[in-house]
Amino acid sequence: MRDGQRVEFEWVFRSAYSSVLRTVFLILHDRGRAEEVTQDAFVRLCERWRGVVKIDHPEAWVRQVAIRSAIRQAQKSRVLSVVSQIEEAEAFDRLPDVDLARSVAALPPRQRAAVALFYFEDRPVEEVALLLGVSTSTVKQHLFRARARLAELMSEQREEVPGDVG
Amino acid sequence: MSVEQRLRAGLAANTVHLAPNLDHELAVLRRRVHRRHKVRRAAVAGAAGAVVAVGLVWLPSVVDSINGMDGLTDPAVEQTEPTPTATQLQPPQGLEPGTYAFKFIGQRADAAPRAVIELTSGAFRYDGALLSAGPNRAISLWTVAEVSVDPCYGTSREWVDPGETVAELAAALATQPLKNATAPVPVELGGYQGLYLETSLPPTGPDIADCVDRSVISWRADDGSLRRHALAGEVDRLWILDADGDRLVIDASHAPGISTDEIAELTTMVESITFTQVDQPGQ
Repeated sequence: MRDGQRVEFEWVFRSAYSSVLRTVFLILHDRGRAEEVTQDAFVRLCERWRGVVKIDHPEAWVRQVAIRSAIRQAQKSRVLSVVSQIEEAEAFDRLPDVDLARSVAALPPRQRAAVALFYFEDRPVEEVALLLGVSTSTVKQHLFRARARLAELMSEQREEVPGDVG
Repeated sequence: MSVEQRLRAGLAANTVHLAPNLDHELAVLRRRVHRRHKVRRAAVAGAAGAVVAVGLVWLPSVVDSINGMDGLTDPAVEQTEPTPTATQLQPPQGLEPGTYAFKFIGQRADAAPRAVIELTSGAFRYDGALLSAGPNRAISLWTVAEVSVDPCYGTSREWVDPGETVAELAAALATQPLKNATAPVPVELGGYQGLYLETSLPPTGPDIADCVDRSVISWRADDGSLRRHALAGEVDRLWILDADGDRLVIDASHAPGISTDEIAELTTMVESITFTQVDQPGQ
């Protein structure tokens, strides 16, 4: 990689890595796997950077690769073993909003991704659609269903938690 | 607090702890890229000395593997996998009638699914990567990582990442220079949804002999194996499937001029493909 290319790549890396990592984490709910997926996406970006093919919007490209890879991983691991469920439970316990994390984790991976991009990254529906490779109406549907399911799960959690007044 | 307010506040709070050390991450990335680059260069050098000799005029050009061919398993008999390397290409094998589970080229050894193909009669040969259903026709199973920007210039020119979806790959293949292509149409195979399209090389000119290595290269698999063509008019019928997030490509290819019966036989073989998860970890 030439010096100019290296500087450009590092700039993209430093400006996008943390944000991509956080979004991927919200899809996978596993820091180790999120780091792996994010690294993989940037390795692929770096390899293309060295080649002749120019990527017009490298930040969007790497985000798209990472998010789709995270969705695939999440889909594959939806049937969790008992051990990983326990590990997951421990990881959740360390999060500031445990109930929300559990509720979001209960959503299908594509809904999780849509929620993360729309509510966490604050991206418009059109951009979420591009990143997920689906239509805007599909994104709206994902968000609608996700909100409905989350409202249901959160109200169940409220019912389960005993009142503070004793 | 509404669900939306809770989401905006809670998602941000739940990611605050993720503050990666960017210098460290960048150093890790550089090491990984360097390692992959070295492995790829070594693999290309290894493949340069390897020749796939199938015994058919047309087939030797179909697959040019860098990291080796994928194995064949027969779920009814055993589940052992060869450990392929660039210099351990499998010799062509005659296959008895029976049911076979084939790995996709570039698919990881522990990945699922496998394509199950029932071979009822006739002579079938298998060279570790493609199933020949007779002279001048074959089926090969692929994972596609990159598509060549100009198939005539193959490995000496650039590659493009076709994205992660079935539609993106279909679009990339349908618009490749030099080749003719039909518009992708929805298809279902073995329970998986996807797109079907046909691509072909022009029957006459531009002269493939003028291309680098006298061949046209359409794509590269995840393990670096190349889909290579060397015959004017060669037709590829492609089923690109989304197998629960894994993108798989079934390529039924034939030389020009074979009979409609032979094409129909190839189609029937593909359409009878089912998928098995037998090699999935934990099963």
